[in-house]
Amino acid sequence: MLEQIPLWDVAQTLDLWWQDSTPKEAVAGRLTPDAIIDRARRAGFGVDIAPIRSWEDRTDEDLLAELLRRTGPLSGELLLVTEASFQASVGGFRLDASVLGSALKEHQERFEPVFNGDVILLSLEDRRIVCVHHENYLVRITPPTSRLPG
Amino acid sequence: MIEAPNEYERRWAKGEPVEHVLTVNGTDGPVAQIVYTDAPNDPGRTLYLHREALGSVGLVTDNDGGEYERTYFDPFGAKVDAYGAAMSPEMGDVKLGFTGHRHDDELGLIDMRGRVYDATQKRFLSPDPHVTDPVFGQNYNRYSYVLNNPLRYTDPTGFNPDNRSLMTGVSGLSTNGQDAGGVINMPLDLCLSKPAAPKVASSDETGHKEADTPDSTITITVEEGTDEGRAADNHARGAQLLLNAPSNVRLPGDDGMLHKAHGSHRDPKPVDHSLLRELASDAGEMLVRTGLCYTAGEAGCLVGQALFSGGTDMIEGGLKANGGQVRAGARRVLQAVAPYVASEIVKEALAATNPVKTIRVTNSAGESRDQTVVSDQDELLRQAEEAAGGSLDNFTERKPGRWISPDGLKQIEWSPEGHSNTNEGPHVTVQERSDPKERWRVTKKVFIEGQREYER
Repeated sequence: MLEQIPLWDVAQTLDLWWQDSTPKEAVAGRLTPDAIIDRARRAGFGVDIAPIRSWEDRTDEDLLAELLRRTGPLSGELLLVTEASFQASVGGFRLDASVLGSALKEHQERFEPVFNGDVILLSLEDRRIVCVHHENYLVRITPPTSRLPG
Repeated sequence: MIEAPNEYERRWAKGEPVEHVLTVNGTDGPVAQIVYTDAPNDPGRTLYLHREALGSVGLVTDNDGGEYERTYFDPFGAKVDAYGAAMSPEMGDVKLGFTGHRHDDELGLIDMRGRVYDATQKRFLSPDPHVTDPVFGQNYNRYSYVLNNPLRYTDPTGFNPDNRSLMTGVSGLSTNGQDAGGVINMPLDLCLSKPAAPKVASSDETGHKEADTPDSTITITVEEGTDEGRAADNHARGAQLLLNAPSNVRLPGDDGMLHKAHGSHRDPKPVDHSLLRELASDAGEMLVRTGLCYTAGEAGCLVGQALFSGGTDMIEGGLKANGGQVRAGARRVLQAVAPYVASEIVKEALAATNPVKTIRVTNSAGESRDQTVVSDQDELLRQAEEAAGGSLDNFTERKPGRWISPDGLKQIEWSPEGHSNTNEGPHVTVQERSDPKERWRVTKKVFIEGQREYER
């Protein structure tokens, strides 16, 4: 269910979204919530940051439920970056939104809880990003609104 | 009062008679130059040097009392005219100029004995080989001239800023805070442990004199006629005055020194003289004995700074601009002293200057948590390294600013800048877990005092 992909693929996807072909930071440096927020703002994306109750004492299921409640449903293909992604030979994950719940369980069994620090979730379908910042903030990033002339 | 001429200079230029220049020194530096040549029948001439407050030779008069030369310097020693406009650095017949030091016309530099100084750059050409006042941040700028405070200090040796008023022997008890610190702290404050006047032995044949502590456990040898020797005498007199002062009398320096300690010019508080005596006598003696400092004077200065800066008032009153720096310096001194001094005051001061405090805070989610507060970035890094067993190098940086232990059970975030997006200042977060598949738990969170929020 969880397809492991190189972190480079995730970083490159974001670079395309930001239309930034010459990022200065290394891949790991581009895949932190802070870096994503900063670059999203520069690219004209909408950024909303709101505090959440600490992830320390909660389950992945509980946190996922809150995340979906506050961001709206996700659909289509997703890219996921967790703390485990930065371990050697793990990387990011590709999954379908329809199996998100069971993918979390798989992640827990193979590595560690998903919500265990920074979490980055990219919705490829609508170019939305949802992050959980390790300092207990939920970050929602939406693409720039296209406006018709006149 | 003239002691002896002690400087001779031979000047020679092609086609000119050789010129001999003798500089005559008074107790407070050069007062005259006797100039004569090898030319037959040259009666020679005496030039009288008139020095302003900082000791710079401003006016030179001749035998008849008439003006021979007049020189002006800007605060950092560059030669200017009477209206302050820049001039060529070349001096006239008298090469002694800024603060009494010799100017080198060809290089446009000033020989300050220990080091060569460039008045144009306002910097020495080489760094100070030692940090004479470790508790003062300006001292770490080792090329700077007299702590960048040229109207207050001079540098007679090229190595150490000196307060002009102390060096001139005008008064043992000076009139401002910084000086008072010197009076209290300098070499013979070891004598403060007894009310008797400091015992200064008479000069021996070698021109040295010795100042003994009352119990003769330490002998400080100072060379007569040197700056240090003169300073020792002055400080001893000043210290004695301070000691004998009735406790309800506030001496001019007390307030000033406390102002400095508080980093503020408000709300002066009285000095506790009994604390001064105990710490100065115990810690000062030990510092000198164990060779932790170059001179007794520096030792005394450090102890005094430690005492003043280590007061609990310092913390309770809120740290001002460089308060954290002063406190960190004071703590270093106290830590050096502590193993040798069984003093409650040192313990108290150590506790007061402890850069690590724990406070209870409410986090963004409204939860109450313990947080550690430290004084500065150095201490913040120290906390991170301590959590990593001594060095972050023991851990692996898995992503920027995040270090994980080899067993995967401890993670340290060291964020010296903080997070702008979540409005958090510089911090260290330590997380632990008992199994690599478990969720992290934050076991320690450290911020810098007064910088809990991100500085934009």
